Amino acid sequence: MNDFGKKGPPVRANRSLPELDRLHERHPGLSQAVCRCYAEAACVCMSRHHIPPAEIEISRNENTPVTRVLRWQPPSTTIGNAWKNADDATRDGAYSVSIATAESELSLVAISRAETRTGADYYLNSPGSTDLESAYRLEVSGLDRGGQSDISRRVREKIEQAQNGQSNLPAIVSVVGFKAKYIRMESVPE
Amino acid sequence: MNENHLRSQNQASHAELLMRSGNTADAYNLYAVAAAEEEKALHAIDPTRRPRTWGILAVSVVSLFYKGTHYAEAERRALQFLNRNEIPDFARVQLKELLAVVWEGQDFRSAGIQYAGEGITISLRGREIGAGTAPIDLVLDKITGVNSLIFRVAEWLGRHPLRRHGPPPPEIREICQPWMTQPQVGSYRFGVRLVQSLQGELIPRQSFGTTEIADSLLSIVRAVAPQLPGTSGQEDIVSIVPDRDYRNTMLKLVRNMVPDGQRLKEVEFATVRANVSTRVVLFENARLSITETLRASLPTDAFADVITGTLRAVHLDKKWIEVLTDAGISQRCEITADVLDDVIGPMVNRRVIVRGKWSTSKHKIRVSDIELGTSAKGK
Repeated sequence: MNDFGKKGPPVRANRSLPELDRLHERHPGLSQAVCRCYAEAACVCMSRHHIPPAEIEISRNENTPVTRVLRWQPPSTTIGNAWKNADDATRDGAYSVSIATAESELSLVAISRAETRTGADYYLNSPGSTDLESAYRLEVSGLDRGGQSDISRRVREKIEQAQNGQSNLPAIVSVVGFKAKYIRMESVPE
Repeated sequence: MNENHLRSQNQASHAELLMRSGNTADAYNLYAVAAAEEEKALHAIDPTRRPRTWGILAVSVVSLFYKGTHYAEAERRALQFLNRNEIPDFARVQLKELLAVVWEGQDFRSAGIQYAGEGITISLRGREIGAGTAPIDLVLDKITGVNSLIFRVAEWLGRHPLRRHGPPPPEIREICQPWMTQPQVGSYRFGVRLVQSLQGELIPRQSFGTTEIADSLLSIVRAVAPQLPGTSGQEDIVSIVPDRDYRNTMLKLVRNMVPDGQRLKEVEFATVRANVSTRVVLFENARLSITETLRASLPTDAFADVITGTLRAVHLDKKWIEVLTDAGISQRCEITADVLDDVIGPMVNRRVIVRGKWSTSKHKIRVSDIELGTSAKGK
């Protein structure tokens, strides 16, 4: 069992995160076009602060953090200009990296996407599953700058939000810090 | 998950990309197609056996109709779904929120305006702030301040000369009209939605829209508000707003909204897009930071002298203000064209700190800066 209470294949033995622009091949909830769009955003976000490849520290609940290598193509000037809205790039890039991390560390894939008033939610479950009933809703947030403590604070805020009132649980909160090269994932208990 | 849902999610993804590329008409049509597919998926689900799945898809159906601006369809489904006993709580909450924005969309459409989809949420926190309650004067201050700042940002983005008096020009009011939403529970929180006139689609398109206005506003506030160390996205205010007059105007408008640290501790500005929020918080210490930035743009002796008191009178055309000082003297002060009505207006009958330089005769002070005072201290 992984620590999110699901049986799944062992965590990836190699040290790389999956290629961001090919996630749609294994994540039915991610269309090819959206996958590539999010991957592009992630490249822009990472290239603001780093040159590829970069080592990313990933922390899950109370587990010992692990390190994974993230590879990407530095964006062309055209692509960089297309993502001139920094907040949009940070948001979409965080989706890409979070979904890749869910696959790598939790053996979960995005099985579905469902629309909400302000955007869309992605649902994670074991590969091959089509069951939304037991799926984890993925809550994603991105930080362009800031350190690990800022990321941890954002995680606590998101968990508090998800626990207040009538929330759609179970859920997994994922906060991606691009400059910090740090990802924090926590489950939100029901 | 059934084929209808898979088709719907692909269509919705495609519609999102069309929206991003500005192809709104095709996006709206595709959202409606996706909604119909999602509804078929929903009908295949037994809500008593799979309530969560049913709730997720019900929200998705209404959201898709809403995003496609098919308000009547969205309203009908939302009411139908809310009438079901099996609906899970999370879905009930989301459907009610959707119904509120659907009705808003219908009202705007009949009034000839459209909701541009951009909003800024302002949250107030402090000793005098309750859950959904706050003193009227505090709230009105912030509403007025945000309104003024939004219009100034829009004028700056539109490269209008700095407005020295009067309301914003009609073409700016066409692009964006701040609308208040009702307060939300938890601290005191209200939203400002940016809407634009449908007539605006007939005039030449501006190079910016409500997204740029909301983003610029947050960037400006973030640039002047000392945040917690390492917080994201802080840029130098001079690089964000290179024009000195606009920059100083916006700095003063933001400073008017800085909390006093006693009644009010924090003012937070946030936008939410696709479930990701961008926030910036103003604390009391922003006041000093803004004042120092203003000081740096003026001659070195511009802040040589200070008086404090209550602002009793303002005459913008004759260029004077009158302050009832702490010593009980009515002091007339000379102002320049830099003093703007939307900055000084909210200060009337309130405690102020005036910085400037005394005339040689010591009868008048020539004002370089005026801000709201929070205590008996002048500097």
